[in-house]
Amino acid sequence: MRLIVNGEHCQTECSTLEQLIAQQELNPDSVVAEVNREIVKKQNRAAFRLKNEDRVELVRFVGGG
Amino acid sequence: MADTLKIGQMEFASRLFTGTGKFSTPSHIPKVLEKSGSEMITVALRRVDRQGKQNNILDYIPETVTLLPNTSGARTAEEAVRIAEIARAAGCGDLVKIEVIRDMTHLLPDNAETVKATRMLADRGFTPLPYMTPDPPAAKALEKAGAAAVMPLGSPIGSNRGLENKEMIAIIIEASRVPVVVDAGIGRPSHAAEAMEMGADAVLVNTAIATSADPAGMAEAFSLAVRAGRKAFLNRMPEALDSASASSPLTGFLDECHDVL
Repeated sequence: MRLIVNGEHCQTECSTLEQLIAQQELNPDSVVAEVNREIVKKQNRAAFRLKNEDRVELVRFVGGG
Repeated sequence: MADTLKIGQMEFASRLFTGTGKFSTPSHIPKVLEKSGSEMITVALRRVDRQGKQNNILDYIPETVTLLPNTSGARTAEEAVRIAEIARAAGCGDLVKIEVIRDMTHLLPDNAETVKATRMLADRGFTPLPYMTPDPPAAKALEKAGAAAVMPLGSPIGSNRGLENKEMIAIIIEASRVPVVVDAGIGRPSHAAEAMEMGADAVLVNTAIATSADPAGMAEAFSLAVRAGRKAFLNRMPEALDSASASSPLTGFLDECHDVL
């Protein structure tokens, strides 16, 4: 399946949002996910099935003033 | 009675807000928070870097400190709302520092878009703290739009030039019904003290602490300056005068006896 993750095309075998986030080397609790501009709550990630060409944004807190 | 700062429904003993940007390593942050006594700290949101190493900034911030997520990167009110919603989904609460910037040279906030973002976010139940270019009518418009505080800049962000907009900030403080937090450009503790002496309710300092030789030591210096400035404001400083006014009695030391010598 092809996704657009953080603006970049990528090929993935992940079928749920939870799996996609688990692939990142970070604490899943520190990430907020949007799919097609809708925020997906943490408790819904496991059930959230990704579709071809979904636009996924994975965002987290960084330093800032 | 304790001199606390009220922002929306929250109360703070410290009038020094800090930021998490520009530290050489986030490991400075816990000590900075301890030494500054700061109870509110800003954070930003960015896309996960899928290759880079992943420090979680929140791991360095004690739970007793209130997070103030900013909307940096937003160029429009709509983008600011989207970023604020993401921050809230991350469990940040309702506070948000609105930052809407289109001018990439001076990084001055776009006040018109900021007013719009403030209204949109207030309607969505946020407690908006808009960062603004110091224009008194815009400050009133932000207040009307639902700002819980206004955050005029002293001078351009990261410039360390102090209160270049002192006159406008003084007018904003005079007219504002919500707290005024001077944010940006505060490069020295004396700048922070000056803002507090003028009657600012708080200051936000990031660059000057984060890029100093010893961030924790500088955090303490700013904490002292903010408290000094606040105390001076509360105790009403005397006016500046054009002529001298002696502090010691003006009569001769013992007696006037010029003819002895």
